[in-house]
Amino acid sequence: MRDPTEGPLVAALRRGEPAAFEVVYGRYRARVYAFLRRLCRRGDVADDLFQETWLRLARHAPRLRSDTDLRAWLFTVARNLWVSHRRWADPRALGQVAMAAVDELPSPEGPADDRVEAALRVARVERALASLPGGSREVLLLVGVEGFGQDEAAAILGVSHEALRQRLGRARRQLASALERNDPTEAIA
Amino acid sequence: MNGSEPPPPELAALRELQVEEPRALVRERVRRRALAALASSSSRGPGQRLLVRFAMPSALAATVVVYLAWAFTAAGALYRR
Repeated sequence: MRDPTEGPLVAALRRGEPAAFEVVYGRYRARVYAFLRRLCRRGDVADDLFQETWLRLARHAPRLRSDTDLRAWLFTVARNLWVSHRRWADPRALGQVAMAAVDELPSPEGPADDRVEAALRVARVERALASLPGGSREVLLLVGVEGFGQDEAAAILGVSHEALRQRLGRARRQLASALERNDPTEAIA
Repeated sequence: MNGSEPPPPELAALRELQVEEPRALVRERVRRRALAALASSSSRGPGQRLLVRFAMPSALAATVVVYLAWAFTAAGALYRR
């Protein structure tokens, strides 16, 4: 849902006010970057797409509609840039780098201190997420991590509500099974 | 899944993931470039925007049409000879 404070912010952006851009950048920068980082699984690609997303906002600012939902707009652009990148990049090279990135994540083993345990749990989810196909990852990131509603996520992905519901169901099953595979307690048992 | 139901466990696990800031160097570079792009895009008047959006693509399309017409005529003339 659109943040009610965004109306004046969009108006200021349309007038080209740098202060408005700074506010939007401060508000969404980390979320957009984390989304791209998990989607690409590569830091260098995420950096490039992150830059392009914000340049698109800056160039498009005078033409923004007054009712624009900036968060949804930014995630739509970021996701479309990733889709274009994936189309042009060599899929074999991407697969190799992606698997290397999964291997770099911390392994869910180690001492059972509370904080360490929480960190391991997060690492386990990161590993499971990184092992999923791109289509499943994007829907889980939008709905599960970013908290977009199903209608908003469907609009960002350019699919119908029903298609989104099916993709989300499939992605959840894949994630649950990947989490099971990574479960250290099951490995010990 | 609606607002009143608790999210399924695998989606709840995703909520625990941290947001990640880009490196300071990237963050600052992107900010600087985007602000420059914002200044340049907002300094364009409506006339310039119309030129970029409609006049230039129309001129390009017209050039392509004229070129293709000439190429087909020339190729036809060669064939008739």
